[in-house]
Amino acid sequence: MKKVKKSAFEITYKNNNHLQKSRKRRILRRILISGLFSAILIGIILYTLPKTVLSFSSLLEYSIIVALVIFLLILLIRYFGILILAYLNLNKYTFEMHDDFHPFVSIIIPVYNEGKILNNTIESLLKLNYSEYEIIIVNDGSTDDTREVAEKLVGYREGIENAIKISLINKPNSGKANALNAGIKMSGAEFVLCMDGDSQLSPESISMGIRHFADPKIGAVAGNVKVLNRGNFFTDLQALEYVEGLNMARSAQSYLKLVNIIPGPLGLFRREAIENIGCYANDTYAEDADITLRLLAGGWKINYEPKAISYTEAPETLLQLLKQRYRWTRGILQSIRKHKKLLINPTANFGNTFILWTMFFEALIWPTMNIAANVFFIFAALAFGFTSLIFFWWAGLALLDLVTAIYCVAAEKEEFRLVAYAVIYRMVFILIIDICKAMSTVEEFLGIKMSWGKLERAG
Amino acid sequence: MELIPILSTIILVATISTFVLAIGAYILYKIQEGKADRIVRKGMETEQAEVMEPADLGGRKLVLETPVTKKTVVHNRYRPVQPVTDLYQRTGRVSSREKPGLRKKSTEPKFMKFTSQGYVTTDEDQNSGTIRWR
Repeated sequence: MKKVKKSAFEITYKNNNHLQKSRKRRILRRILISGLFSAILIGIILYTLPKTVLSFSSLLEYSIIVALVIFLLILLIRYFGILILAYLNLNKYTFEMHDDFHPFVSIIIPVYNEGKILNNTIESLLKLNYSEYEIIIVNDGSTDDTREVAEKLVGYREGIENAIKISLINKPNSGKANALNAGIKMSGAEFVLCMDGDSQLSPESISMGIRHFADPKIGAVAGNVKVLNRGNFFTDLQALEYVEGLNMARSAQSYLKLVNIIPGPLGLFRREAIENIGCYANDTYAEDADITLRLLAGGWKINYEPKAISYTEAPETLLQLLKQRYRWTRGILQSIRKHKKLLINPTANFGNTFILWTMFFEALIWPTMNIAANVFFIFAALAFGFTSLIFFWWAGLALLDLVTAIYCVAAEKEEFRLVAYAVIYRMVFILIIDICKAMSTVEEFLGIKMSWGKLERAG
Repeated sequence: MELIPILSTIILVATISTFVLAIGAYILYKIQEGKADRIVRKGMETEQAEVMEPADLGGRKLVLETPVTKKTVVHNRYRPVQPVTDLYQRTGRVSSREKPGLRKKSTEPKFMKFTSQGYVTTDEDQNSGTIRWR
């Protein structure tokens, strides 16, 4: 019988949930201010329009044409900017190695009702080609058999290079952020790897990720997230989205050492940096985005490591997907709002301001533009019979996505069949996501209550 | 009929359907969510947790038998190698392989020769050294 030591562990954390304070009054104030601004804008247009040569309909036409040209311009700059920076970053980190840097790493796995897949997660962690690490499972008050499954795993298990210590913290349910903080508090390592309970790591995840910390300015390293459960229409589209939309953007940001989100499935942190900013906060629904922004605000640099791969389960149904994206969008908006002072003050930390505006653009402006463009083409086709316009719009975007998908799939050595999904990627998948984002933004603006939204596991 | 109008119609229908699908799914999701719960916490909180960890190994590190091949980093690969003149002075101890006089001399013959008498040593071979004309 294996020897297991049990002890009590006290976790103290400061909860700064500012969302609860005078909620109704704040929402009312927000609606009034935005309404007032809109009324002023409409008033200016109505007052100045008769003094120009434009009629109302011609103003509408010109506005739409200008908006579409700006939309296309931003689209092209964004795509090619990301591709060029990602290419430069990929070249840089292919050749930079620090073989003599092997610090001890604690892997923290917060789990909530992950009994079905916890064994697979641990199996993947025992195959890491790194010797100096331990595993800490934090059971966040699961209601299924997670506790029993995790207790069986406690002990020294055979790893690739030596025996790996597996510990368990059983605590009452209080959210992912607190679970991660409990694990960080228990660990004594200089570096911590935070991951999700439903993710599996590639063998070289730590060895490739840890090399970035040889630079003392690096506070964290974001991993490369890939979809594990492929073969379904939605999961395949997400696999393409992770490669083309998320990882390439992260790779481009990494060239500037300004990654905007350290993904929940794989993030490596320097203890000094994470303690410096006060660990994870539980006042947003995107604790990964929030901690990243706080690290950047604290002056730390963040890199992305494409070879540190985390395979994670993606939502398999449309409703599950909407649930996930709804939480992401609102969580990101909450994180941006926490740092709104930096949004309007570039002198404090220009890099952070730039990243915040990028996030704001991706979360709010971009989806609005995409929806507006589609609505315009539908209206033009139905009201005026310009059906060919929507075809050329789709063809242009599909061609752009196709070229990007080929590049991204080749760069990441991904499955080539994913390229075929690029044809419907923007017109179907991104449109659905953008509609969800727009709805979530309105709800966040109105302060409607939300829940975490736990995904169902296939096991 | 031309191809572009057909494709345009297909794309138009697909886009409208996507809009309807997305909005419908969103409404359905909100209905399903219904009773949204929310974690509400105030001020400082303390939680009691239970830690389970394997018993201590008494300071020793548990290493498995699997041999580990680690990369060795050569910082200056062109450093000239100094010739070793005094083995004892350099390391303090010398392996049996390097110690003079410790190498055992083998008494067995190194080479055998195949003759009409079978395998013999080079010394025993009577015809050795003689030149035979055919």
